[in-house]
Amino acid sequence: MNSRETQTIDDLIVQALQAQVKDVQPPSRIWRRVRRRAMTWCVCRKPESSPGLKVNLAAMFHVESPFFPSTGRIRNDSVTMRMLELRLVGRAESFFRFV
Amino acid sequence: MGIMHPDGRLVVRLRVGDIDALGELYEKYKTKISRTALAITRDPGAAEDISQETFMRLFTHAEHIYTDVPVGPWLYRVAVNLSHTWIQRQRRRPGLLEEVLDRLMAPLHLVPERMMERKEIQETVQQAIANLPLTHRTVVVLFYLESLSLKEISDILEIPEGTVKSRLHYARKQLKGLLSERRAVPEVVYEFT
Repeated sequence: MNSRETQTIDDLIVQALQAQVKDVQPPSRIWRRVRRRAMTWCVCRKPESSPGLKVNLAAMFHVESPFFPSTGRIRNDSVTMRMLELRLVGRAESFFRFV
Repeated sequence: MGIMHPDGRLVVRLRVGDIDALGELYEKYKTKISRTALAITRDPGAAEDISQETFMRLFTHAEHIYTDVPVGPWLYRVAVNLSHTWIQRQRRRPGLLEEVLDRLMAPLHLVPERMMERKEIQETVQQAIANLPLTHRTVVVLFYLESLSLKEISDILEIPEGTVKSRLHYARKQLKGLLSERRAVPEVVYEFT
């Protein structure tokens, strides 16, 4: 293959690949999913050290209860946070039945 | 360890669960990672999942990522590996091989019946690239689409530079053969003279 052929092939490959992904923009839902998963991971991994994250996560999941209102200040105590963790991992309903 | 790279400062923040730092890295690399996954898998849905998983792994593996180098090569490596895994799983699914091959061969965007000659050639080249072995296609995508150097590709794929070169050479040779069969090369040669 001479240099002109190589250059032609190179140009064709670049044009074809660029056309293939032209205007491809990652949809915003990817970031929303990544963010939610990352926050959930933080809460599950270090539940004792991330009260702020839990509050944000609660807002994101529209978690509301007398224990953690969606507006106003949230009580940063161990009981509230434990309740929030349980709610966030989807076990709150069963937990509340035994309260 | 050397001087901390700007990406490294963000990686340090990731280690303590800083979601905003993840957002900054996502904004910086999202397009590169998405289009790499798309170019390898040729499946928009898979590319979305792979992008998501790649950045999630960045967050959960931040402890193990070097802070004195850009995080891009690490992300490329993860995205490429996930893309390969996705393709291999598709191939293993019984009864779906033909469907996968058809999809790999198909253009991502439908084109009008009376498309320009250039579009036809592009489609031919895209199909030719899709026909390359996965390892070669990956090198082609990283080299031509992402404009990465041989050294960078060598680092990302953890293969010698010589192997990168030989895969590119093989890919060009294969493409030339396939394009010649379709008479795409001579036409374009004239176009460039």
